[in-house]
Amino acid sequence: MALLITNQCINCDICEPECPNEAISEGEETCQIDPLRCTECVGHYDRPQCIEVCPIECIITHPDFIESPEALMVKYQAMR
Amino acid sequence: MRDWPASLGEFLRRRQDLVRLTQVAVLALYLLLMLGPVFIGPGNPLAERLSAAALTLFWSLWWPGVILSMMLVGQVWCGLLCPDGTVTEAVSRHGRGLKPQAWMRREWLPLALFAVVTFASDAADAHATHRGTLLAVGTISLAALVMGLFYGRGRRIWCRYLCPAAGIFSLLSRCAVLHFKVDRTAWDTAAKPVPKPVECPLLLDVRRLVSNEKCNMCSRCHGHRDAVRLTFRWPGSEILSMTDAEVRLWEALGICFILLGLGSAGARAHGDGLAIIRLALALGGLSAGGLWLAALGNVREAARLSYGLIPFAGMSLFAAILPPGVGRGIVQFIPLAGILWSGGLGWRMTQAWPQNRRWLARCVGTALLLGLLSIILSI
Repeated sequence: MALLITNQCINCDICEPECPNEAISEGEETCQIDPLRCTECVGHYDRPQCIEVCPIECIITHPDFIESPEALMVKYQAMR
Repeated sequence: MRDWPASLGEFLRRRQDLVRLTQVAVLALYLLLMLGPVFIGPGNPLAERLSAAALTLFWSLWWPGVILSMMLVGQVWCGLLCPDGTVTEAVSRHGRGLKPQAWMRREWLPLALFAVVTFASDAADAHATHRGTLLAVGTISLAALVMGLFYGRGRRIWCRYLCPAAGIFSLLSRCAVLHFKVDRTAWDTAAKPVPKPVECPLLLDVRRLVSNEKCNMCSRCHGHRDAVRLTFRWPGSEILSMTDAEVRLWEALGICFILLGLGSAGARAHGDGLAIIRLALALGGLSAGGLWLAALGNVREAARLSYGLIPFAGMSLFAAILPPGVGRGIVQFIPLAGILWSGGLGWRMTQAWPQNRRWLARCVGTALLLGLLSIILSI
């Protein structure tokens, strides 16, 4: 599963440098996650770092990108 | 010489160790004055002296000084000196690090809390005694401590979302001549990946920062991406450049009824709750009604004009809380200076209006300001 930043985001800029896949960027209104690059930190960390550091709860599972841990690992390896 | 704000911003960013040292010194003084008399015990001459020093320092120097500083240099007090901010940030580094819930993040909450705290403390004349001061100011400090223990991780969740004083500081600081200016082009074209997030203890959207509203002026963001700089601007220019999306009806009501109404009434009629309410409603109602009339019933335009009242409201509050020893002439001149500042803003805010509406608004605005001034000077 990729992750999604909702419109609750306060643009605090904390998550962007934490993403090991460089999947987070500053969108027009709020920060955004590129679902094609997001592995939920599989391959890097035990837990998604953006969710860990986000000071409010605005990062959820992307409803349109449901992927298994194995698929995320494949995605991670393809990006290396 | 002209760019000394940038030099100051850079100095503060580099020397956060000195800032922290100063914050600890202010916190130590605050604790000594607040808790010293309690621990020493009533009746002891040292406790009496500390109590008297606390009352003088808090209500004759600190509170008027902070109000004036907000209007001139923004929330510098909050970012560099405030003991509550120091405590809440420090303890949050070791606290539970919870994420603030949605109800805490309501924009109007600090202003509403300010109204409650101000009314309660002024009606009970808490400023007159050390115990009352401890109850009013100490309760807020305790709340800041508890918030830090539970929420945020090395951040100032309290200052951003709940601090009652910040409710009016966020209004007054829009007049200030200092602000952090963000060069969006430099920000957007900075080398990627960005090595570290922007350092903002209030978690502000620094990339889009145009307002002093929540900025604590701590300078930690200065120089980030080579795009953020502490700089000068014309006093009140932020108010003149507000977009429609930035004008908020609840804030306009807050300016009229809380900043101008309750702020002036509480300081002038302290000890009499009913008189405070009557006076606050009279000042607030007159302001809101006058602005509505000046805008010919256009609520959105009336709300926009209300921001022009901030300098007058701030100066009136500042004059009202000056210590009794200050000459009457000075106390009367200060709201007059506020009138000129607010009048100038109102004049420019209506510059683009159609001619007949413009002159009507200016006439009504002038009458409103003079009416408010006469009421305030007669109290």
